[in-house]
Amino acid sequence: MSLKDLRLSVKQKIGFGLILLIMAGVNIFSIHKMAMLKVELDEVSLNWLPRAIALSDINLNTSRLLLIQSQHAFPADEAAKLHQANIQINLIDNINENLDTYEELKTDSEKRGLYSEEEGKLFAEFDWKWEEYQDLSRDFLDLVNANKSPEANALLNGEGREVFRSLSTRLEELVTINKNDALQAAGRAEIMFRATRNVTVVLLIATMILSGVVGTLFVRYITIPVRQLEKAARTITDGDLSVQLEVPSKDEIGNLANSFNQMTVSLREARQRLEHQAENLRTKNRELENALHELQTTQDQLMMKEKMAALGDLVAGIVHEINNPIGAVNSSADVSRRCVNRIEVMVEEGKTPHDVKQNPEYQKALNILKENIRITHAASDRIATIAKSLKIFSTLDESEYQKTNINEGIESILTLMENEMRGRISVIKDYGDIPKIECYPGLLNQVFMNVLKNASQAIENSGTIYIKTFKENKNVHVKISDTGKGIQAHEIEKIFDFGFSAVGTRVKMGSGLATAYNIIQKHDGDISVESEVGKGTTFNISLPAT
Amino acid sequence: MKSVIVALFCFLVNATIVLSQVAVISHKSVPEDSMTKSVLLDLYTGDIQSWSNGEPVIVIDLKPRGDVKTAFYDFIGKKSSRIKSIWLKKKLSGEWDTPESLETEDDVVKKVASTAGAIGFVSQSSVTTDVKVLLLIQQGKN
Repeated sequence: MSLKDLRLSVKQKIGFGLILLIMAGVNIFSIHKMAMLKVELDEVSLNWLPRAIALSDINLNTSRLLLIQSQHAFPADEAAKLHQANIQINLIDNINENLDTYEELKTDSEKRGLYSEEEGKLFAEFDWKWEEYQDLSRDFLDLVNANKSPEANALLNGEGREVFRSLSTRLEELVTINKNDALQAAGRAEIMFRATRNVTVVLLIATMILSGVVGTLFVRYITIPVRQLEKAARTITDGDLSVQLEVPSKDEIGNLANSFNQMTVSLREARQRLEHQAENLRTKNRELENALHELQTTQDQLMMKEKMAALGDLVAGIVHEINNPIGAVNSSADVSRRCVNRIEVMVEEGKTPHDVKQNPEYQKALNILKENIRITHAASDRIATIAKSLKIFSTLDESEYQKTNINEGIESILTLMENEMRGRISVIKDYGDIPKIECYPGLLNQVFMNVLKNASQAIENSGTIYIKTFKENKNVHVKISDTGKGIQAHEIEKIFDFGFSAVGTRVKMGSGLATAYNIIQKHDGDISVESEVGKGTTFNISLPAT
Repeated sequence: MKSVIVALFCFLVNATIVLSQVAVISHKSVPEDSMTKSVLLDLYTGDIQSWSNGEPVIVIDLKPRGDVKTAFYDFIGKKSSRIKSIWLKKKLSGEWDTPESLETEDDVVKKVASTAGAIGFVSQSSVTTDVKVLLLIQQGKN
């Protein structure tokens, strides 16, 4: 397992741990060296220097002792002698105190191994010389006390001086040793200080370099992969799912890159699935459109058939309606021809016009002729009316949007349906003063015809159809009520569906009301029905009056 | 055979120690038959100047430095140079006529044997029947 495969946290710990370790090392090293410096300096300030001072003091006091002993050798009065003795006692005390000090310091230094053999040897020699000198001093005192001044002086200046010189020499050497040791210690402290400083500086520089290396590694192992990840994420956001990341390591970043790659694969698959589904949907949509188109065509054909059926129905009525006046005209023509024949006979019989006029037969024939003319007129009027209605109704096929008077359309339909309703249904018309509206008149006429036909068929024996038109707010309303058998409540809701006929077995009108509903919808209008079984049905049609 | 050699070796070692023992000796007139460290120190610093029978104490010192002298002064707990300071001070103040320092152990033995109330120290080998041994100090063992 290489370094780059370690977890991020471990990498961080190793990196910072190394830096901390080195810094701690620097600190420990410095503290340790400072402690050593302190030992050196303590040795100087607490040991060598006090020792040197004590030794110097001893040196000074032994010299003083020698000096006072020189004076002591000469005869003097008791008081002077006593004074000199006291000074000597004080000096000896002082020397011993300094020796105590020195020996304490010596023990202390020996414990730490800082007391040299040479110094120990020198001090032992000094100690021996000091003892010798004191023995000598006692001999000297004996001589003085015995008032043998010359001998005393001789002892002091002879053997005494010699012993003192070697004692003094040792002392001076000891002082020199201590001084040198102190200086050496100071020198060592200085060297140690410089070394410590250098090592500390080097370690600090190493720490800085290591920090740099660790930082660079972090950048390499974390920042760069994260940046690549970010870039890849942006590429995906832009829609390019083909991105694949390199997996740089087995740590969290590596895992992240892995997950990212898996994610892009999943995304790619998901997108492919989506595209596939979208393609399916498009295909289905096309099929649906085709089906809808077919349905539309079928519906149109159905409506056409419906129209044709309605027309066929009408044609029978219209033929009958036209036959009546034609029959009237025919019979009138026949009667007229016979009247004319009779008048011709009368004229041929030679009678004068006066006579002809007086002839009752003539008067009768003339009256009949006049009546026939009236009948013929009426018949032709009737035919003209029907023709006009047919013309109006024949706009059935016109699909042009135009301003139309609805009342006129209703009236023409009533005319065309007169044959069907005559003697059976009385029509009460309540045409309001309504404006012409923008519409497809042919389609609207089909609506009215279908509704009226429904009403007519709902009335089984005899009844009334009530037609009312009026304007309310911005709408034109047409209300067509019948006194027919009514519609069952459960049938009302599907009355406008295709294939339903409210007249039971008569499938002829199967799609009539559905067609009516579609047409009204096409005009942004509304058609509704209310009905009560046994009492009748009312259709309400409202159309926007532009 | 082996055990004999070991025993002989032990004897020899023991003998060396015995040979290097320091003896504190006194004139036969001295009433005390034994001695302690603190009394010895008081005697050698002049704090005790007479024996229990009233006889004045004559302290004898061995002048040359050597094992015997070092062993003795180590035993009483004062370096000889320090003892000498005390003697010099007491001489200067006139408190005590301080001890005589003799050059050889034989001198010491002779002096102690011939001086009433005298006390001194020599190596055990130098002891004669003329003196009384008050205490034996083993060298190297305090």
